[in-house]
Amino acid sequence: MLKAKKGHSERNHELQGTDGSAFRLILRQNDHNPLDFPAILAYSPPNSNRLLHLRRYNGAGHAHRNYIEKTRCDFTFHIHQATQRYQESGRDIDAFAEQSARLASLWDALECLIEDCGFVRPDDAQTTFGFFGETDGE
Amino acid sequence: MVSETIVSACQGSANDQVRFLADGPGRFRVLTPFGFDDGDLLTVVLKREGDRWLLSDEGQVFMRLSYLLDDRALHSGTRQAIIVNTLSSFGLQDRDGELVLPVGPEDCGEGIFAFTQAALRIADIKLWTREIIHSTFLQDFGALLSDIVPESARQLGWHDPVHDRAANYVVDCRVEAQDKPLFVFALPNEERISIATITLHQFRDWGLRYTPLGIFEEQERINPKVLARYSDIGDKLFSHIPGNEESIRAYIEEHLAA
Repeated sequence: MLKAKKGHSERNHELQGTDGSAFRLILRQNDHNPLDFPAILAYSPPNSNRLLHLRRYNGAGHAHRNYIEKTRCDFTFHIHQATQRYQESGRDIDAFAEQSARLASLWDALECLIEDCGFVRPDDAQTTFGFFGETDGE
Repeated sequence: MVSETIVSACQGSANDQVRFLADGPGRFRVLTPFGFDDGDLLTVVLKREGDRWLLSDEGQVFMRLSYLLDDRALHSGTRQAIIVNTLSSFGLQDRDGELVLPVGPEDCGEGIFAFTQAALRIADIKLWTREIIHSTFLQDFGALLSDIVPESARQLGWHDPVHDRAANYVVDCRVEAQDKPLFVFALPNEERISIATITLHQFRDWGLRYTPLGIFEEQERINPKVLARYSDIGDKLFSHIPGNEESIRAYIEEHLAA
């Protein structure tokens, strides 16, 4: 369940990798434009306040430009991913994105993220991380 | 057509890098070269509301800031002041999370550049936060504690009224818990950490019952010896606030409910 905020609804979920690494799952849905949403998997390095976006599944509410490749995604669903070349270029590490036909909603984006990023679903999971209605302690 | 009139006027007063794309009745996407460091371009929409025209970001800027900053951090203290000053300087309005600027045919081109400049300046708060976090840590600490602990259960700047009438040994925030109080220390620098270390040793000498909790601004920047001395007596630590809000909340609420 997303929480209503100013201009959007949101949900964060703290995750821990099998090796103890800390991650955050970030979901946002723009209230003004249903096509504008991200589902983000971010890594939280130990002893740091930084939050590194590894993957970001974006809606089609805005255009995207790949600075290095000189390519664009013009108001299409697109997937950002962290790359070494953008990190070394001084841009945000997830500044590379490719158009995708796999998603058309925030929930599609979450499903893609789960599928792509090494998540293991619990055997008895009927829903996903409490985002579809049940609470997770909040 | 009114729409064609304003778009024609806007196009005439803007430069060649600005284009307009029809996107429904009374609505145009304004394509500009302005974007963010992650390659996403700034959303600018020209839309009609009643008898007036507005430029809008459709909530993009504040939604993007929410990836890193929560409402408390964004809409309080210095960050809020920057937002208010920027909106005021460029004539924009924050309409429940949506940045808007009314424009007409005569000032639309100029309005587009004012709008994009203001929107990007607000979006840059994310970068500014990383660089000048020292000035906001104590605000963030206070806001977080206020959000988690009811006012009746917390006391800022507490000192022991029996042993320490002069208030030489102060706890940043005392939280009343079921078993024994939480003594919460804000630890932005080595001086504050050393004072907290001495304070906790003094409390132990007095035989006070408490649970110490230290929240660092950036633990990794602290001298290891200073950190080790604090760790010897302050057993529960959080290395920083951003990213740990929910963990801090869970820890404190666990003690409140114990």
